[in-house]
Amino acid sequence: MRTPLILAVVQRLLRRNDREEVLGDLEEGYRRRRESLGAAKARLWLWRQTLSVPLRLAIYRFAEGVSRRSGARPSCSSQVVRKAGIVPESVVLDHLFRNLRFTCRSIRKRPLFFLIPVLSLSVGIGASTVIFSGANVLLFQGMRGVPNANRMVEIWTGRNGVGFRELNYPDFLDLRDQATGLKEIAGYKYQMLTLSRGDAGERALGLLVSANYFDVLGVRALKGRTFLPEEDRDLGAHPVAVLSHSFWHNRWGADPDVVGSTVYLSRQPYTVVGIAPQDFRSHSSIGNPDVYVPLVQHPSLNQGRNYFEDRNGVWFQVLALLQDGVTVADADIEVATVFQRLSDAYPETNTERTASVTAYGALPSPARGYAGAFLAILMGFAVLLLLITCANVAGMFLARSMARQKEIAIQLAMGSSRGQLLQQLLTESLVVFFVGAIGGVALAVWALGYLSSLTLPGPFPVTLEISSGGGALVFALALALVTGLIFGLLPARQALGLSLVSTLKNEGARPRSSEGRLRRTFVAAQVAASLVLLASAGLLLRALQHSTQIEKGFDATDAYVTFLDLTTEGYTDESGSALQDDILEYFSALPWVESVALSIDLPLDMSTYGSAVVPEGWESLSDREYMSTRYNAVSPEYFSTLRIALVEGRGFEDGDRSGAEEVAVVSRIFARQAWPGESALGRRIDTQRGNVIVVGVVDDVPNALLTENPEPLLYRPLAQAYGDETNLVIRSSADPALIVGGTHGGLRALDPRISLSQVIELEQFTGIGIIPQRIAGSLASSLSIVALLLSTMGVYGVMAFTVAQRRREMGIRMALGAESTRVLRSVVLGAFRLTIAGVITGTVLALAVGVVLRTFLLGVSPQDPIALLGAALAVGGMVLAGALVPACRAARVDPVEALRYE
Amino acid sequence: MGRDSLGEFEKVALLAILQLGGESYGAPILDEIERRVGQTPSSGTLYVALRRLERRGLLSSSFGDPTPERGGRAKRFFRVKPEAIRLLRRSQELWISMSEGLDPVLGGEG
Repeated sequence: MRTPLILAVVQRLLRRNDREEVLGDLEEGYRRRRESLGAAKARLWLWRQTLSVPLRLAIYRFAEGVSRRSGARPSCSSQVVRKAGIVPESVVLDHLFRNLRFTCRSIRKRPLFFLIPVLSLSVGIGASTVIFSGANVLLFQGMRGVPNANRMVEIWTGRNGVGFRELNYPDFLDLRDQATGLKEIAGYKYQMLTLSRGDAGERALGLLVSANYFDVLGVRALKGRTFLPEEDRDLGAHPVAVLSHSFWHNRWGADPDVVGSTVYLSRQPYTVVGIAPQDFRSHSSIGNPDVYVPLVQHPSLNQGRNYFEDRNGVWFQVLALLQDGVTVADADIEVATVFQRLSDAYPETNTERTASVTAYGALPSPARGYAGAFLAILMGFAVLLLLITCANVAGMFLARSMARQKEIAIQLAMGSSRGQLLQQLLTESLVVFFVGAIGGVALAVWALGYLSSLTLPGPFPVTLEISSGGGALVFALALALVTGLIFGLLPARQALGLSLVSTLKNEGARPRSSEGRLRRTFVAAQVAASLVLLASAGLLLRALQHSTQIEKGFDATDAYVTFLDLTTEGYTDESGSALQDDILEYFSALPWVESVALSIDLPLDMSTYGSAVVPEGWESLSDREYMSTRYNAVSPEYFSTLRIALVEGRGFEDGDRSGAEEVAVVSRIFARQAWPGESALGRRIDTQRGNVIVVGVVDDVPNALLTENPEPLLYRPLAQAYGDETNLVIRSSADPALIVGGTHGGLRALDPRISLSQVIELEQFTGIGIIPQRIAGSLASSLSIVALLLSTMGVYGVMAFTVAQRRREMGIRMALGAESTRVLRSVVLGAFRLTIAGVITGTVLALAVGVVLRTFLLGVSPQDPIALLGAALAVGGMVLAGALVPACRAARVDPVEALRYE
Repeated sequence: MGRDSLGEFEKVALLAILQLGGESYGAPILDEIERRVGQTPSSGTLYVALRRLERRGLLSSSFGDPTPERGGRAKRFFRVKPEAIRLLRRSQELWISMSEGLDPVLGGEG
């Protein structure tokens, strides 16, 4: 006869010195029963016996350990003998098991009262955990896979201490030589590249880095090597590349022979020298580069443009490793001093240029403020829901303990200690909170996985790497424990503080005022928190609605955009310009294309090009030397493709090309600022690319963010002011699949090796700026629905209880001739009296929260009446809904029945 | 419960070992209790009780030879120590003295 499988399983759960005895006994017992009772009964016996053993032994040892540490000996309670054979091992375990059993029984009796708080706790804890993880990763931690994160800093330049800007190479070298508090200093620059192995390329995110980048981060190559010190010298002399693990793995099937092979970056041959480690996703969470290349290759990847000698502009970002014992503040002072010296030494370039050092983080410093505010608001929502849930659960337990007053009083009178009863009451609430926490963690793990898989649309792949980790789990469990203890203790304390005599004398059915007050406070708190959530949701939804109504000045519907970066494709200015002409000609001839345009910038795409110009007559208007303006270079059909209205003069024409007169179109604001009260037509502007004449004025469009005030904008014809990185915009009402296929097909027809990027709906692309509002709005609204449901339950619970308490009184009133509608009204009014404090508090809080939200409201007033009124109405409806059923029950009280009762 | 008292199931386990005489290891103890009480106790409870009694110095145990019907595993035999017998006796005396004259209430020996 074979040894039953379950014994093999249990074997693993037993300690070595228990195995021989326990497994032998079980197998022997099983065989005997098999002979006498048959296989089926014997197997049942074996399962029942086997499963209890490892658990019981483990708990015994645990309790023994606890009591040995506390100096007490485990004792045996013979008080409760439920049936022969089941005698509790120790008081602690006895109570734990009894309490758990009791809790399970009450869950089985009223599953809904368990399920609803557990589900809402899961949502509350899950949402908090997701946001906590996000904040933790984005704001407080470095990236995973960066061993030196704790010793790293970011270095930014600014103008007179304001702003976060990049550095230039000469300043970088001076800083490296002069700042002794910095052990190593590394530069990096993102660049879109095309990457291929000789066939058609694909667009890839490149990170150009100084050779010590990986050393500063403390990262070693998984295969091959990272960069060598000499790969920082001699511009363009080091065509070597390190591939990211994900690119190597996902696109090239983890080809083992890739190190040493040749790849083409922007159509130039490079040798792969290494693969980055698997858990390394660069120093930042917002871009996951596919390939790393030495910074000295920058000119050869950018048509020979060499910025390395230039102290004028700034173009790459800097990370540094601190010397041991040097703090961020020390480094900040030292770096500032170096830049002060540079400003003295090179007044013509470095005047007003300052530098600052900030702690390194997964999110670059400039983004942390906005992200922090956003996450704080989301966290606020999650905490509100959590509070509502906690108050709800606490109210529920309070109600139940009140209903069990008599039972509790009897137990106390029989000599049960208050401590034991407290344990029992606490067990119930902790079970609810822990099951909720488990649900919350599951939800958080799922949500974090989903968020990390998202890629935001754009020319630049932005992904968020947020991992749930042990931290998130600990956070969720700690949250459950703390809330469970607080909100379990409050009602338990109330229940145990009762007066024995009056309760046993059957006055227990009347709630003592303090109990009622606590429960009412819980309900009022729920109402207030729900109101805040509802009002925030309302405000954010209003902001989203408002964003669709803002006079944007352009029309994004039925338009699609894709990105072309001709320099990385190996085009020169001349051949690139010719290709642009071909693209426009090709696509405008297609039947499904209404119109087509190229531009180096788009409205609302979160990026801007700035320029300094001198309009004719500027000297007399302003004491500033230049007028600063946004800048865009566009093809002739741009204004009609984006439906930007022409205000005066003409748009660009095919004749506006190099050789013809240099022309410009300006925005309405530009014209108003440069030539107030006069026509802009025929005026001249001195630009960095020569003197141009204004031929037209167009409507204003927001440049980066919807909320900004329109800024002056200068347009130049692309054919006169070539730009290599362009957006290809196609207006078409054809089937989106056809548009995507046709766009890619057309581009490949013009250049078979051109690398393709996503074709995105323009509406989606220009909507990037309102993503925070979308996320916050949908989170707040879904949480408000849960909140409303819970608060309704809270109100219902209290009102139902009150009605049950006052049954006799109502019977008397009705016997004395009160109409049922009066009774009904008195109950509903009672519900409103119950919630009025919550409504007032909630409204005040909602107004305050609106002010906090202001940054995200896109110009909607924080006191927006529609949002606030809507929230108040929803809360009113909620109170009514919660009170209605108990009120109807009260109105239907039969006086005879009620008075006969007891 | 103090040092000198026995739990209900502890008494049951000690008495079962005494009833069995020499062949007192896990499987027969369990069977003996089942036979006399009429209900199947859980093995886990039995092992915990045996361990606690051993730790209190009321039982001693030793391993026997492996036998094939146990899958070639050794038996752990338990012996009741005199201190346990003293406690059992005291418990019996307590029961007898306290229940004297209560036969009409407790239903006699039946």
